[in-house]
Amino acid sequence: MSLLRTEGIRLSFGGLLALDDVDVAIEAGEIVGLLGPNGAGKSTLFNVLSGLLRPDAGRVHLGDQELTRALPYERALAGMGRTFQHIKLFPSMTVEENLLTAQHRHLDSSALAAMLRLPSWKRDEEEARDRVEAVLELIDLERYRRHRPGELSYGTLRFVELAVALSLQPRILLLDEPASGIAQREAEALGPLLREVRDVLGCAIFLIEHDMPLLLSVSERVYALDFGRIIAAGTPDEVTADDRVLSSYLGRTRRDAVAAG
Amino acid sequence: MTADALDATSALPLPRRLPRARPGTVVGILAVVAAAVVPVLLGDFASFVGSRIAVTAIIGLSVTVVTGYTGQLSLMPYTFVGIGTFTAAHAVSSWGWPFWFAALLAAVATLPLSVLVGLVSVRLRGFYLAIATLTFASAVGATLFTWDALTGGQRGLTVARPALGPVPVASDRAYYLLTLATVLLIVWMVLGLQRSRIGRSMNAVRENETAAQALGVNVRKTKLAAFVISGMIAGVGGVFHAMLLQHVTRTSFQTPFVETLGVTLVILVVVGGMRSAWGPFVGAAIIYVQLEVFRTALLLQYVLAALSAAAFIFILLKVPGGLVDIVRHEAAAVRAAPLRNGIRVTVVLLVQVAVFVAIWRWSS
Repeated sequence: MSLLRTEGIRLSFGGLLALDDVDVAIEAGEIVGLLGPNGAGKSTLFNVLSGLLRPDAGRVHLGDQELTRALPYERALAGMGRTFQHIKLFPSMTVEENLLTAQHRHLDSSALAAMLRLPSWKRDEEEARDRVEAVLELIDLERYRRHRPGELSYGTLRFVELAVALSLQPRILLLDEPASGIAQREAEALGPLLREVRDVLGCAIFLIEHDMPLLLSVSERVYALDFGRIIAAGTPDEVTADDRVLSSYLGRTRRDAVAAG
Repeated sequence: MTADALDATSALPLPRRLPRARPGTVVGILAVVAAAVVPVLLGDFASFVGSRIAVTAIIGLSVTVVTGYTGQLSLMPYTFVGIGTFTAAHAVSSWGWPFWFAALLAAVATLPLSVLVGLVSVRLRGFYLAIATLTFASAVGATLFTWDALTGGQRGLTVARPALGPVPVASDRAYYLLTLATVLLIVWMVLGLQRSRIGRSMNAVRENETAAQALGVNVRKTKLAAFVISGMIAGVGGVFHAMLLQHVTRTSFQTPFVETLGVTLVILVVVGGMRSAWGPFVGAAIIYVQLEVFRTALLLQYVLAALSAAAFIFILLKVPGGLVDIVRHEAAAVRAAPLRNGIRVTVVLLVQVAVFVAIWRWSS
């Protein structure tokens, strides 16, 4: 049984059908890409998966739980981590504190335990710090531990955001354009890093990315979305060879090339 | 399989934890000792002012939790203070409860209202929430606090200061030491809260609710927890408020005083530093010391009031972290260049104290 599955997700905004009968299935530990032109419904699908939007029809499952009606925080607690197209970090907190906030799902000591410094709180804090430290090391962000987001470059913030989502220790991670706005060198480092993340943490990754070389090199399977429909699915080679994908997404460059030539 | 995946990070090598350097500890202890000793040496009146500062700081900490940490602007702290005040008055004076039990009861007595306001806060944001809390404050003042059996009607209630076991705290000096110890205890508790999953959730909710939810933070529960904890702190503040004045009337907890006091308290907390557990204490100390120094200064009073208002506006514009941030900044400067900055800070502090003493001497 797949880790994350959707069945017949349908969502319309007014008269516009944003998602039309979308079925996706992602196995545990798999890296899957989602490609499609602007406005195809990629971020909308992520928002449906993470609970920010409620679909008109269809179902979302994570493992053996049905999450269709679950609130965003319940999905995070169930093990679904995500990043946003526009970085959302907590500006007054240090990098370390941002990651600690994501530890919420692994901690259970009460407010009173913290106020009275009871052993349960101390144990919780120590374990949380150890796990955060491990993630900082994995993403190579230890030196930025005490920095606040405002002091870091945009490229670094993308990695911090990835680290925050990983600090949740998700079973599946939804990444919405992790390479957007970052330097070419950093984007090239991202592919191997995502593979390492998957190998070390064992989480599945579902990825939206406009950087095609990155998306195609890191993904084991790819879904292509256009006008809210899945128009192709398969290995990167299969999907990029698909006629409908070529005409809707890659085709423009080919046509341009023909027109220019 | 998924359980294994979740545990995967624990197999990673754990780095050594760096010891936290706490250079401020010695200065902090000295400051606490000075805060305990100076008003007591100065006499009953200074101790009374000191108690008022400590009580205001306790109540201010309720604002720190709900507004400073969680970002929910509540202008009704004094409604919770009123509930604590009248509960404690009955528990101690009518039923003869020991002091600490009365304080606990006062904290618990705030629960029904804090839960109600907390639930409302889930639905309302920003200005709308602030206005709703003003409405609540006014409504409770016009209903619950007009109940004579609770508030003692027009005459109010008399509350004796407690005895802690065999130690009486009836004198202003002893009462000051009790309130100071209590505010330090609550500061310590709020500092602990800040360094916990709940404190971090509160900060996350204040800064970005969507991001907080994506990390598993239950926004409703967090806001509710903030109002409940805040209400309990204000309730305990109410106990100390009652015993500070030893006579309480309902008027202070009714329109227009309850709103005025609430807004003033929020200003005081912001000036002190609303993201820090020390903010209310610093804000209350500055404002009440000024108030006492300027009280008899007649014409000069207005000039000084205008000057300090300008200073507060400057703080709000330039230092959003309030006076606590200025103290932190100066402490860092002294640590960087002990001799030069140490002398500078000492001179500035001495001049300020000298100006205050001079105004006070000259006018009284």
